[in-house]
Amino acid sequence: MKFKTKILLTPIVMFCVIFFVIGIVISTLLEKSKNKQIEDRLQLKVITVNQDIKRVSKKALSESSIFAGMPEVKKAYKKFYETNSVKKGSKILFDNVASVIKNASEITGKKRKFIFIYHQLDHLPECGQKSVVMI
Amino acid sequence: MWSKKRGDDLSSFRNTIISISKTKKPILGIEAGRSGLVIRGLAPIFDDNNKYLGDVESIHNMNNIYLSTKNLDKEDIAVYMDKKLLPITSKFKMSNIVENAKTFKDFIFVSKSDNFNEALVTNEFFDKGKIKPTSFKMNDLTYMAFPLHSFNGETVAVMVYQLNVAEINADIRYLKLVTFIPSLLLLLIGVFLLWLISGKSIDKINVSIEGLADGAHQVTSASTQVAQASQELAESANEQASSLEETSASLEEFTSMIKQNTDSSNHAQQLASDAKQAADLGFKSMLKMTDAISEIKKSSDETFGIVKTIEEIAFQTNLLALNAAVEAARAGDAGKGFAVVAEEVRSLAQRSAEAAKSTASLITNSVENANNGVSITKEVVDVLNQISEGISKVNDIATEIASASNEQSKGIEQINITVAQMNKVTQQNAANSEEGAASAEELGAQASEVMRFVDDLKRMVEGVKDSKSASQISTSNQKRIS
Repeated sequence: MKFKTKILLTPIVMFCVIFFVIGIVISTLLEKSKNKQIEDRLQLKVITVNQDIKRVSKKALSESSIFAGMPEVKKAYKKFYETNSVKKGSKILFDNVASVIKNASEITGKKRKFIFIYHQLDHLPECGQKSVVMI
Repeated sequence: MWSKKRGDDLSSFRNTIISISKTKKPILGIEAGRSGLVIRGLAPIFDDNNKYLGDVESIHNMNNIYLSTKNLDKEDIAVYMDKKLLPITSKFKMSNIVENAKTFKDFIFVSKSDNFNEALVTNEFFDKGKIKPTSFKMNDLTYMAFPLHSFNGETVAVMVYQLNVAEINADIRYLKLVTFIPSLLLLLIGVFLLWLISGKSIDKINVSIEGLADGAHQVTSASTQVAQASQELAESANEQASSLEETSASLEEFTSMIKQNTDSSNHAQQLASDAKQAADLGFKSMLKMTDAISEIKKSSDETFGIVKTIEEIAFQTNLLALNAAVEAARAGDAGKGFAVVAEEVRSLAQRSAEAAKSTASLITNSVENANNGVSITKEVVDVLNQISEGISKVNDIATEIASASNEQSKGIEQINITVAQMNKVTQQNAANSEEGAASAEELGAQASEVMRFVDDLKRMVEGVKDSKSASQISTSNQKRIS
């Protein structure tokens, strides 16, 4: 083997080894970065979904809270308890609340579904409920 | 469209209503109804006296949630509901969805988007997803199953979210390619440059090796010559040292002889000095003897004068005695006695004259002898003078000889010192030469070693085995040195 070859063999092999090691390192880093990026994205998606669920839940609660505080709604419930008639109570609800729900659905373009639940006090503690559903 | 129901009894299946009638507090969350899973918000109604009258419930369809979850084309979802809720969801139960739906043990299909691939969802994955959010990948599809909880925390459904990551995978592949191709190009360029640079460097190394080999050859040759010269020098120095030792021995003998000569000359000088002193004393004695002889001569001369006077007196006395005898004869008898005295006086005068003559003769002889003595003494004085002068000259010569011998002795001592130094230097030279020879041998060996290294380097660089290598040449040189 020639001296030149002998001399060059080591650095060339070292260069190649370093090159491939660096290549492997870079490749590994890129793969890690990719995996991390994907993993982060996946985790973010989980967080986003849970946050969306919370957000929508809060939205639903705020919407229901609005109706829970309306005097007409309270009046309807009082009527129900006074008469123990779902029909009478519901009439007040339909007369006063239905238009609000309808307007909101038309403005937002999304259907709203609300359930107004009466407690059947005389059947306690089984606590059966009667409901009025408005869509 | 408005519809109304009256008189429904919700207490048998509506937990939210049962709960709110007990707690009289708002409730919100998912709960199954006749048409399936819905989101509910229940608010209690109180009159002006705060008396609980009933509840208002707002209901939202889960479809909105499903739609908002699938907001991209690559996203799809499927929802599976707990089978326990089927008796409640009477409307849903009656639909044909239920009949064809895929079920996972206790969960039944509720809804899904168009591109959701149910086939890849496994029971194991689904079971994990019931408990907590769980994901898995399959090719370009990634799934995440997670529970949907009711208002009271019970798992009522499992949503499976499907994400198509083909685009992301394509992006990553593109990124890898974008990274890989320039890197590969850089690598190839680097290797090419390395090849070029190393080629030039190797050429330079080859030139250096040649130079090194030449240098090593020259060093080997020079060391051989140096070793030989050192050996010869050492031998010459050894011979010179032995000659110097002999010379030194001869010089030592010569020195002892010169010392002996010096001693003898000193002794001769001393003897000559003593002889000169003796001669001087003799000379002085001779002068005294000359004076004494002169005095003797003078005394003899004076005695001779006295003897002459005595002789004249005796002559006169004789004449007088003769005259007296004549007169006595004339005086006859009277003069007879006188004539006898005159005779006696005349006989005394004659004897005195004879004695005076004998004395004069003796004195004359004595004067002559004294004169001879004086002349001999003068001769002796002259001889003694000559002897003294000769002795002085001998003394001077002996002194000069002694001085010269001393000088010679000093010179010889100096020569001895010089010879000793030369001997020392020669021995040192011999030792140095031997060390030089050894160093040259060592240098030769080192040069051979260098040659071997050069040879190895050359073979390494050229990648060939030379039959007549430089090291072999060097080894032969080394053997020659040895």
